[in-house]
Amino acid sequence: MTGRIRLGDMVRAGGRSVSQYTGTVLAMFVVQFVAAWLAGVAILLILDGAFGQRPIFDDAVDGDLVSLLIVIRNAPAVVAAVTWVVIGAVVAWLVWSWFLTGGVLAVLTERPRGRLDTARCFGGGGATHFFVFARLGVLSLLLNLPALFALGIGVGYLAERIATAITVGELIGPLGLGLGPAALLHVLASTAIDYARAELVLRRPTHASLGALRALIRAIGYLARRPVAILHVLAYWLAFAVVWVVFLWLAHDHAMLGTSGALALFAIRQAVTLVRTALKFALLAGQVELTGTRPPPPRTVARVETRDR
Amino acid sequence: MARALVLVVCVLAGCGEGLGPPRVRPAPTPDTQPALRVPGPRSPRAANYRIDARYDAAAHTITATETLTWRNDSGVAADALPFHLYLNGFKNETTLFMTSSHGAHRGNHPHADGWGWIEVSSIQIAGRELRPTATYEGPDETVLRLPLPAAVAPGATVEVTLAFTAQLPRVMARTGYEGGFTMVGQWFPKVGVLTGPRGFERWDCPSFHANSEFFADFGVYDVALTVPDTHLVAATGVLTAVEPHDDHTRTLRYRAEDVHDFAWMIDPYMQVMSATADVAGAPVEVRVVYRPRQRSFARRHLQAGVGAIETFSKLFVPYPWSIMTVIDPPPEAMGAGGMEYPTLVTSGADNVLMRPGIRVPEFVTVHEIGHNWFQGILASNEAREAWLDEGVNEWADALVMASLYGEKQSAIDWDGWKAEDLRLRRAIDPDLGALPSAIASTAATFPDSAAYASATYTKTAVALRTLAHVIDQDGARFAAAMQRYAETWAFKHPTGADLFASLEATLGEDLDWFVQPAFQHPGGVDFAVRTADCQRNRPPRGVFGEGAARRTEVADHSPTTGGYLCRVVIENRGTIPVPVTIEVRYQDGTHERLTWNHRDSSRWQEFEVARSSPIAQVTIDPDGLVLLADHPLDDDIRIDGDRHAAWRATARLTFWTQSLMQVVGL
Repeated sequence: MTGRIRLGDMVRAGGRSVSQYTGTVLAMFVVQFVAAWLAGVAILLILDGAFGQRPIFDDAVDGDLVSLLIVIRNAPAVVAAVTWVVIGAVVAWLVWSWFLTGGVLAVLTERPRGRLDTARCFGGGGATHFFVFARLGVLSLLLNLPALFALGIGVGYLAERIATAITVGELIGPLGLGLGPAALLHVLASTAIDYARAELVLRRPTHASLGALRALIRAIGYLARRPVAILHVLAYWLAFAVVWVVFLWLAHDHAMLGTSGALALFAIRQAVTLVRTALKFALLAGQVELTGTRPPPPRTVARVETRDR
Repeated sequence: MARALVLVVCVLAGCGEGLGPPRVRPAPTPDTQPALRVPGPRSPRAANYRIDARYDAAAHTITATETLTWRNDSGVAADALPFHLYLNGFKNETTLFMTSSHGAHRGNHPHADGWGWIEVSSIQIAGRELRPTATYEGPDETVLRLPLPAAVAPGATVEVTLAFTAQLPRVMARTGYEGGFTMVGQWFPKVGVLTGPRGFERWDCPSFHANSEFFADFGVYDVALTVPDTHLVAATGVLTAVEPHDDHTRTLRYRAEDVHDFAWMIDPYMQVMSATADVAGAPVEVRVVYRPRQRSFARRHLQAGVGAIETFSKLFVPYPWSIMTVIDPPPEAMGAGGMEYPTLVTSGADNVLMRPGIRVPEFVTVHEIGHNWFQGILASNEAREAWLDEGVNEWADALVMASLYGEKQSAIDWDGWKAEDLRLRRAIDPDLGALPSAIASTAATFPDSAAYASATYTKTAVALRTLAHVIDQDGARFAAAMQRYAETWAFKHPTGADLFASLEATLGEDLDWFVQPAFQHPGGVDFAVRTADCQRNRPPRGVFGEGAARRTEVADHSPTTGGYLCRVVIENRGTIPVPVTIEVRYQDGTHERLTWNHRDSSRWQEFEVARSSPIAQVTIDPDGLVLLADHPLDDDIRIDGDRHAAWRATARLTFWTQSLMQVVGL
């Protein structure tokens, strides 16, 4: 499978995989839902303990700006506690994602049939690649340093421009110049990580000794040669943003009060999350499809085996 | 390709917005209106100025001669005249202004290439040169003291002619130049005020401090400005004559009556839009001077300006002058924004984030125009009692904003969010009771500008709002008393004592119980529900009677009456007493209101109520009238917790957490 793959092929591969492994997508969503709501329970306990007897909090949640400010300004410890719960949940998910990504990539690579085999493949892939993905995670911190640097400069520039901007039109250019380079560098870094992961999983049967650093270097070189990989990720982020905008548009000016309103809003939010999970799954599937066309790394393992014989 | 890339970057960065070289403008037409709508004089006109100034647009300098005609209205002879030289506050980093501001004013820092100064080269009285005898007074060169050859007796007049050069700074603390725009404020030698009890007056002419604003006598200003013919000028007063010259300059002559300051702006790119305000059936022209790219904000300032002139006139005294000019500085010169001068103010807050409905630009205009009453007409001493103009003005601004935009959304009405002006400010500025200085402190004595601003602006305004609602629920009597104060003290120099004496006289009430702790001492109001519980109401148990009649009542023998005896204890942990209403809600859905007529030093009040149902909720100040109160989280307590709001907030936060998780991980 060495044919030239185009963006459409990658997108179609994503769609096929989502429809073939709907159960896996749903399972990923459920895991994420549970993880998020574990944090949610902690948040609930904090908020209930702090504000359960404070009716002003009801007004704040119902959108009264002054009440919201009063609550935030007068309960800094609660705000800090909730913030740390969110940060903790996000970081925990980041670590947990190393396992899940390994599982998803293993499934997408090995294409198992049936729930049991899929689950076995998922678990095995996740466990096998967890530590190498952890090393990639550490490397990704280094790889994102230029993006952080660009972000620092960009935010400073943007703040200056915002201070003197009069119209929204005057803000669009500075937004692009201020945040664009950092975003692009981050996309490049995270895409390189994605392709390094995909190659580590895909080549494991034949290149067991392929390490995180080498896979990452190869991925960076590959991205330089195949911009379609970047386009593919950008298309993913575009879809992610569209889902987000559609949600905001749907939710705007809909207070959805009462039990039925709250349930409706909850359902819409989870539907949005599910769609984004599917998008992410499709992204990984497209990346596996493209990685399959990459020339494999030199077979160092094979040479050692030959010598043993 | 490279050129295209540069072009794209340039367009994105907005480097193509140059305004081009200044072009010659048609000469402005003199105003047809008189300086005062109704001929004066309205004030004593003790300090009158005639100034001939020439502006060098390239060097940002002004060379001028000034003739001050000063009449001694005091009961003591004056043997010297002190002059403010405010621009010397920007001369270097050692001035009192720079040290007291820690080198920054409203976020603006001095520029290494843009210091400002003023140098008086000549002072003459009756042709006699006196400059060598004049000396700087205080820690810097912002006050110049001129010993007089002969003391000016009470009622007598002296005429002093000064020649000076002023170098404007790059925009800093209300004045200076930036990108072609130049705001000229506090630019000429200005005589101090001889003030105090009759016969014991002393000069009030303090050095220029970062927290202190201005104080001067009323007078007539006749000012001729010679400026490039490419520039637009806006100034205090009315334009009375225009004289063109051959050297691409023209002289514009302005006249202002019954004012205590004169400021002007010059800019090659500004435009003017105007509208008419109706003040007691007579027109007042409101002008907004703006750069073309700020047109949409200029419209907002104009609408706010017209509304402010009309509403302040109704609430206090009619605007006495013919014209009000609102200058809308370009965003890069915002250090000149938000400042008041008689008949001319600078507005600001023009920013992309200030969407229509976020009424910060409107508020700035209303606030600065409001200063034409609170300081322009009621010319209190801003350096000594800054709260009298800033805080009282803030209180009045809230009334005006509510009148113009509606009470509930006077500050914000955007995307479903609504907020009232003073309540929003109160929510942002939470701990007024913890401020280290009393409201009635001299501006220069506050420990920092944050404490100065919170006490002078916010605390004063909410204290007055609180007092107004104590006087009567809707504040109408208090507003009427404030109008009476304005009428009584217009074109004079009222003090804080004058204000409260006037209020007490009009209201017929002693206000000392509130004024002393609220204005003269640090401290605040901090209500809290200390106790709120109920017990089943039952006949008493124990041993009753004697001898044969002795009986013992035990719980089993004393069935409940079906009612509850409830006890509510409200405390005020602060130092300012304020009468307050307490609303008690019961579990059967009924409610009642109790009153703590708290006007003394007691710290708590107990209420006992017999009801058929236990308490569900206790709310102190249910109508939100005691805006001075700190820690409002403790003012409204539900006895049994309710998780609904926490659930809703959690659902929202969890969704956002989920979204973040999806961004950083799988």
